[in-house]
Amino acid sequence: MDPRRIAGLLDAPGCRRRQALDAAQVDLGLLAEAIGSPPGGQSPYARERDGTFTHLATARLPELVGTHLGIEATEAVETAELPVGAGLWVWRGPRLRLGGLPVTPERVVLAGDDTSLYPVEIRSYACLDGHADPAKVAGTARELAVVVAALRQAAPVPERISSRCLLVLPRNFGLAPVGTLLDVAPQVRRLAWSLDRLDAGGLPARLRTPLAGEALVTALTEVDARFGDGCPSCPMYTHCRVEAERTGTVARAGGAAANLCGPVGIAAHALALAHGERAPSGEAEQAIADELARAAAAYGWAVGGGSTA
Amino acid sequence: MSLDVYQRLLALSQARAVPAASRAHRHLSPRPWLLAGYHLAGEPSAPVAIRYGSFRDSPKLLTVAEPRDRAQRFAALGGLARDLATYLSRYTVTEPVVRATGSGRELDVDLCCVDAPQLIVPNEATAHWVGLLGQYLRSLDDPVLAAAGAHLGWIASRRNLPGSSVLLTATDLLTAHWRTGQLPTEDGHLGRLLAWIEPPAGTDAWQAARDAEAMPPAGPASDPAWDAVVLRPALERAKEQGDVRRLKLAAAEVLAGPWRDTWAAIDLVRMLPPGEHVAKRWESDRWSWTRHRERVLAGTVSFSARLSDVPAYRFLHELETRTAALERQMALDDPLVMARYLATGEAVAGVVIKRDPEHTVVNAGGRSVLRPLLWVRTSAAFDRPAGTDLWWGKVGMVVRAATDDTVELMVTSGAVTRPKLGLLPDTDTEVVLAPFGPLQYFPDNLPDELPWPTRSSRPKPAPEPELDDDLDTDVVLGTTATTAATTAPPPADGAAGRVPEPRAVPDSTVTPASPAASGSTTAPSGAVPSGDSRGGW
Repeated sequence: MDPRRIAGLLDAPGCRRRQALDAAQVDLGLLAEAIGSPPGGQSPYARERDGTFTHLATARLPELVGTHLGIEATEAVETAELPVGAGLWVWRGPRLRLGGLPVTPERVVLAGDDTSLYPVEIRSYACLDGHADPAKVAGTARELAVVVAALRQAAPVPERISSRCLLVLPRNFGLAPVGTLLDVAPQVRRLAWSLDRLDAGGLPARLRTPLAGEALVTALTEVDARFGDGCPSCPMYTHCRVEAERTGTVARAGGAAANLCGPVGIAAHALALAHGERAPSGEAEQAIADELARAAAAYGWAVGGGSTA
Repeated sequence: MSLDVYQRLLALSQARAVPAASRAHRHLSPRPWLLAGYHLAGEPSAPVAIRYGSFRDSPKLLTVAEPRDRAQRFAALGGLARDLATYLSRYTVTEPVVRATGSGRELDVDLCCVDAPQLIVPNEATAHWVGLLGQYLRSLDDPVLAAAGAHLGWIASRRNLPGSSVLLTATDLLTAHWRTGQLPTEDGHLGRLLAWIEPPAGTDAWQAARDAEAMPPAGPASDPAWDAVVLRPALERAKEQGDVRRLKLAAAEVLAGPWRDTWAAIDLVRMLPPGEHVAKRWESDRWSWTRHRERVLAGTVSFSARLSDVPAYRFLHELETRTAALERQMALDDPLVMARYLATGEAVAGVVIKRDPEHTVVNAGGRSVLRPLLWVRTSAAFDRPAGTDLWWGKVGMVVRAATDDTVELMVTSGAVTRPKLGLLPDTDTEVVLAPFGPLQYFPDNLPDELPWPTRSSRPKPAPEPELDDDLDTDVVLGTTATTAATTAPPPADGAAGRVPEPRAVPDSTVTPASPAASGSTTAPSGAVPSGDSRGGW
């Protein structure tokens, strides 16, 4: 699985279905076909730009590595295993593992001084005046965290893999590369937390064998989902949201609603509490009922022409 | 806010959006300039197709056969720049306005444009792209394109100011006035939002939103599948055979949706009566436009990539002032917005059950002064502490005590003299006591030490390289100038409290590069330190 997919685990914390999906290493192409979701993918133009920039940036890497990491290298050397010593390496198609999951990045670029190895990542979104899109940088940081964690698992001395990474982006509107250091240690820790939960997840027996089509969807649906704000990036999103719509789940309206309603998971129940049509059971529901009743009264006042009655 | 959640739950259960405002809180120009477009995936400076104009039925369509070719891009953007200039030239008429200047006691006559331009785009991403286009245009050495870049830079910079209506997005127009039952991130999709507000007959919002999602996106990033299946053959045909018909056709078809949807959003908001303060906020935009035109004419437009020190402090101050003013104005204009404060318990709605207009207290000077008392019956307990300030119009009061259904208040301003006692609410009047009083002034005197977020010379652990994840790549810029500004008393200190001169350019801007001199380092990033709108607030 590519780092992006594993990093996606961090988008949906606490969703058991998402965990099962990755723990079972479900083929996403088969899944998209089974739930009839639109094919994703990258624009051919974005791919071309990616390729061009990667090519240009790779040629300039020794210089960038020298400036930002103080490592002297004349060119990037191809390698087929985790390198040792000082230099700059490109490792194509490494087969790494993270916990029980395979991690297969297209390639990993590593810069090493004698004490540490620093991952280098080349991306083609622009860095304008020293600012790149924060959402994209955050996404890259999560993916880098997966690579760092997987390399640490592969390394004889895990501490040698640094969590400080060199991110290379095109400068402004051109294709001249600029480098910047990015410490992904917090993401690595979050990932470790998520992966611990993943192992403990306890995969349903049916998902242990490769499935496709309807059988795959039914098997996944047996695992509980937790709908939330991070869901649009999940491959199961289009399926889960229909389910959430059918059951009238509060979380369909977003994390703020789910947080306020707490144990009251169904929108109709929450509204019944707000309108006093349902007796709250317990202190928690009483508090939710009070809060929502107040909102309902205020809304009634406003749409009812400003009368307090 | 709990009202927000309640409205979302209502919308969810009814499968239809519910109103979140009963007044229009954004100014809508009678003749806005709309822009919708696509750029090549990953390359904001390479537009493929842009549809723009002020007329719903006759938009202009601009296509670039080879977006990565500088000359073609130049030619196409030149057309856009000229049309933008034509549109902006409608807003050059000025009128004399009497304004307070200096310490606020002297009056002066100043010229202000009677109206300002307005740009409306489908979504946030397009609004961001407008800023990038402006930045790109400014980096070119063609005077027409650079001028258009300066204008787009000003337009984009207004987007970050709360209450400004110069650059509006259709999604913001709709989310400010309606609440849906979907994820807040899904509200960023214009088609989905419209489906929630006006689902086609016979379908509920869920189905309508899914149908809308199947349509082409509103840009500026196009659908990858469309890129591969439609755009690529069309671009190749245009490049190899010089035949752009297919490209024009594809672009017109794919941009028709966002164009129509943006107009639909404008129509929906136009149906609401405008809020009372909207014109006042637009006045601030008109002043800003007037100042911007003056700067363009004088050739002193500048954009700084990043603010620090005094300009950053001023900008932060302006943002805070505007946010507070916008919240207050929207709540006073619109009961549905005021309801948010009722729901959180910051405001109180109730009936006056008892008055004591003759109540007096002894003030610090030993004199007995009139401080009438009011008792208001409420439907829910008021849980803010005694001493909380509330207002009923211009009458200010302070909470003395509250029980489960009654609040006891003492009037402290607005009706504390005998001739003004008639301004007090009568018994049995329904009142809403708001946490918003008369207009508040926040003086922007510079503090002795600037707050840390605005300081540029942060103490750094010396040997460590930059670990910030905000991609601080250019740290070489004038450190001497900035340290001087924080340690020594700022030179502008004496004048700080006053309304600054309209054309004052911030004195310690770190990157004073003019757009022509080093185009690639200037950026809109929204942060234009314009001290020109203060009068309006």
